This record gives sequence, C-alpha cells and structure tokens, in this order.
Amino acid sequence: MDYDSLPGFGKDQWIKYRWNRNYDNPYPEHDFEVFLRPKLPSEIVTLEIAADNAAQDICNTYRNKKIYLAMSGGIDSEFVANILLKNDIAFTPIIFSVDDHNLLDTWWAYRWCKENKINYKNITISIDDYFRNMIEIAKKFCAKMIPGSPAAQYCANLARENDGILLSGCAFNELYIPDPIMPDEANDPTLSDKTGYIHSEIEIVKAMLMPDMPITFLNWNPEITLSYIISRDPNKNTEENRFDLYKCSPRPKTALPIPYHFFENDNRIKGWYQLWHDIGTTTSYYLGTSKELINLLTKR
Amino acid sequence: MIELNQLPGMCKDQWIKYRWNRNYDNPYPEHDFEIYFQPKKITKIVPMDIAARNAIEDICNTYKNKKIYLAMSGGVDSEYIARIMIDMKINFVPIILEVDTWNKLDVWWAYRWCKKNNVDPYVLKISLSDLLLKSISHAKKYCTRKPTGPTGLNFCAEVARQNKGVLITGTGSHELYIPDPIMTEEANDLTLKNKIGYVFSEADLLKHLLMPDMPCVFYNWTPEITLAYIAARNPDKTTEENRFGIFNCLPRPKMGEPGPKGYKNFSNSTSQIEAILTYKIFTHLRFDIGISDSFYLGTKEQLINLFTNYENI
Repeated sequence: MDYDSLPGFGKDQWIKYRWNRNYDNPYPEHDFEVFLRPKLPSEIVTLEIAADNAAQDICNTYRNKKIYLAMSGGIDSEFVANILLKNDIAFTPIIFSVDDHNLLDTWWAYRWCKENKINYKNITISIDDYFRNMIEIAKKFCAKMIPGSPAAQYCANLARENDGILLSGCAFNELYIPDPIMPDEANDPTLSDKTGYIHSEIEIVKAMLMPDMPITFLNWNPEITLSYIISRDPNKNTEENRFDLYKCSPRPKTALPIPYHFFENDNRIKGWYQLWHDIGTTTSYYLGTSKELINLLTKR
Repeated sequence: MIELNQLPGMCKDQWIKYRWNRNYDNPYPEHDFEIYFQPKKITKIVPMDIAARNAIEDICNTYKNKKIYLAMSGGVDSEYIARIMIDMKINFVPIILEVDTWNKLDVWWAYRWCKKNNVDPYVLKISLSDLLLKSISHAKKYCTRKPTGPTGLNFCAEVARQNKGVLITGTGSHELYIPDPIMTEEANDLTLKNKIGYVFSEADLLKHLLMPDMPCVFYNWTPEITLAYIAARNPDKTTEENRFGIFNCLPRPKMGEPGPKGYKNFSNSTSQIEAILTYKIFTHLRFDIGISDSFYLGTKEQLINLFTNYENI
C-alpha cells in the first residue's frame, strides 16, 4: 500500500487514514482505516515529558501562530492546558457552549481559567444551530459519529480568524471492555473480543474538517502516543487511568456538548440518528493491542 | 398572633419554628413563610467535623433501632455526611435517585463514592414524568413554588419508611452572599435586596412538610451544627468554594433539581403531551403565586449572637 499518498494528521502526518464509507458504498469492509506510520523508533519517556516535548514541538511547527485550546471541561483538554501553562506557552482557551446543555462540563473549564487567571474566549450557539451543523457534516462525509465535530469546527474557525491554530485534548481511545464509558464499543461486532486501542470515526471527521489544525495533541507524535500506552494501568478503567495520569480532579463527562437523550426523540435530529443506525458498520478502527502498538512504536 | 413556641417546628426538639402563610386565599402574604430559630440554650462554636459527628450521634440516639438511609445526590453536602458516618462506623444505606438520565452527571459522584468506600447503595430509578406529576400534586396541595427537589427526596423517604428506617439528607439553611454564581434566583428576589447573611429556602421547608417523620434537614439538626457552619464560612470565598473547603470534598458542579427551564429542554424524551401539560402547570404555579422562595434569617453576626448570647435564650 502506498501510505505516503494517503492523507494524514499529527506531526509530519505520521497518522495516515483512508475514509472508505460513502453513498455509493455505505457498507465497506472497513468504514475507515487508520495507519500509524512512525518514521523513527520512539524512546519511552514519562507522559509529562512527552507532553512537554509535544507542546514545544507544536510551538516550533506553528511559529508565529497564536495558540488556542478547545477546553470542554474534560480532563484531556485540562491536561493540555496544564502542560502549556507549565511550559510558559501563551494560549487562549476557547469554551464552547450549546445553550446551557453542557454547563456541567464547561463549569470545569471556567473554574480552571479562573484559578489560573487565564483569559478565555467564549462561543455559545443555539441547539438548533448545533443540530444544523451536525447534520451538514454528517451529510458531507457520510459520517455517523459526529456529535462533537461542530464544536471543534466552531473553535477552529475562531482560531483561523485570529491567525491561530487550535489544539484539543483529542486522541485515539483505549478499548478495555467492560468499561463504563464504552457502551457503544461493547456492542460493536467489529471489536468483539478485542482489547487494546482504537481510532474513533469522530477524530477522522475532525481531521477531514480541519486538516490545517494540530487538534489531536495526545497523538501529536509517536512519543506522546507511546508514553500514554505505556503509562496506562490495565487494572483501572479508562476514566480512573486518566484521572491519575493527568493528575486532574475526577469528574464525569457529558462527552458530547448535547445530552444523549436528545438523539432518539428530537425531531430536529431524528434523520441523523437514523443515518447513524442505517449506514456503515462501525465507528471505530482497531489499531492493535497495547503490546503490538508498543512494538510498532519502538522497533528499530 | 400565635406565640412562637406554639408554632410547628422541625429538627431536634423542634428548635426551628415555622409558619407557612401562602395559600389559595392569600397567595401574596407579606411573608410567604416564616422561620424562627429558637435555641433553648447557649451554643458553643465547635469545628464543623465535631458538630457533624455530634449531630449524627444525636440522630442515631433519637431514632434508635431505625435503619439509617442517606439520600446521596452526588453533591458535596450529602457526601460529607456519608464520609462522617463512615468515619464513625455507622451502618447506613445510601439511596441514589436516578431520574431518567436527567441527573446522570450528578449521581456519577454518588456511585463513585460508594464504589471507593465499598458501600452498596439502594438505587431508586424513576421517570422524569413521574417526578414532575408528583411534584405538581405537591405544588397544588401546599401552594408551593418549588416542589421538585423535595418530591424527589420524598421518593427516597418512602424507601426508608418501607424499610423501617429514617432518611437523612444534606439539607440546611443557605448563605446569601450576592453576587454568587449559584444564587441567581436570590439575586433577583426583591425581598432579599441589599441583604447578606443566611436564608431558609421554601424547598427545604417543603422537605420537612413532606417528611415530618424524618431528620431530613441535617445541617440544621441542632443549633450547634447550624452555628458551626456559619462560623466556619469564609466570606472571601463563594458558597461552592466554601463547601468544597469546609466539607473537604473534591470540587464539582451540580445539576440540581429539574426546574421549568430544564424540563423544557428535556421534554423530547418523555411523552410530548404529558410533558407539555406538566410544564405548563408547573411554570404557571412557579411564577404566578407568592413573592419569594426564601426567608431572610439574618446576618452572620446576628445569627452568631443569637446562638451564643444568654440574652437571646
């Protein structure tokens, strides 16, 4: 396979992907594929060192650009904020609200900004606009799993208008079923009996929507990706692992800027919900076990 | 006018007297309700942890042979009580009330606490429609504006009653320090204009009216715990930050009870007709009767003086 010709993201586009699902072929063998293509073996370092390195590297790569960070209130973006702060990197958090639907999430982002005396930008849109945007994205890419992408797109637009770049706490996910935050993955037949790591459709959609932005901070380079995989304690669930690794106060997460209960019954997005269930087979691509990925990222 | 000591009361030895004035013949009384702290003896200022332990011990003695249930919403108020009871090795059952998925992000904390402390909770699941329809009947019965939170707790009290137990909840009088992010309603309450100090909320009085057999207003159970909180509060911090500090709990936001606005947002997940009808009645009651949801109790200094000065007893 000619990986070089595929689109990619992360530093030097080290993560390549192929988007296979479309209206002519709504049920391809793989809805999409993701290929990790490190150019050099990575050393194993602590997550904090890897994150410091990634932050410095992003600054060098996007010299003279203002840095914006999408802060959802979750611990992934808070971890990135702490790293930027620690490295004396000037940045502006963007806090995105859909009416008052995600205020229990954004509470954390406001609190962080207040405690650290950091000025932030606010974007608030109506739920009608959010739904409209979401459906447009779904139609454009023949995508299923897109609820978070309009938020990222609004934030990226704000960064672009201000000659900046957007970072976020996005990354690929671990797959250790049973896990309270993985009900969708638990019912995904393509992931049956698998453990390890997966790439979610939503991150690919974000990469297609904003190829100019280094949004997936936690997969920016092979080093930070490897350090997370190495640090993960298999005896803890995903939430607990992240609370410990990021040294952030624990919290639950709406996960999407709109609560889940809208999806099934709200007339404004019933069509999209139908699309979710009627096209494609999965919203995840299996990357490999922890051992396989460590081997891939460290081999000479 | 009835004398204060003849009024109905709540908490230990009914030391808090109240008068409920709002009714359908008089929907706009001078005070919607009144609250009077009537401590019988001088109260010493003790640290919050000691006052809380004493209150729990006293509740256990008062309700001897009753099983203790604690309504755990996921907020810091109830988690603090849970932690004190664990420290005191008191056997209790947390009740976690799930209202559809409405309070999913709140109860996450309660589940987490139970898991970390190896305590099995009693999980009570109800629908939002059930909660609101029951709330409407309470609103009608008591001519009240804020029935939803107390109604939810009354579902928990029913579990306690059926199991020959008593229900404790993390309820108590509130501080009033405007501006405060969690006090938007109080900030717009004309009866509280330019006042600072402490207020008693209509919702907390309704909890007592619905559950007079339960020690549900824990943070006012005795004058001692009431005073301990007032004395411990740092005026330079918001209410949230004070509670995180005093209760030594991890910070968190709170969804709270489903109100008219939230219910509007939620209406797509329940029967549309029922939702709209309920919403209309609820909103109508909420905004068309009464003047205030709060009764002003006094400033911090006035209250400390009330509890600690012989002349007031």
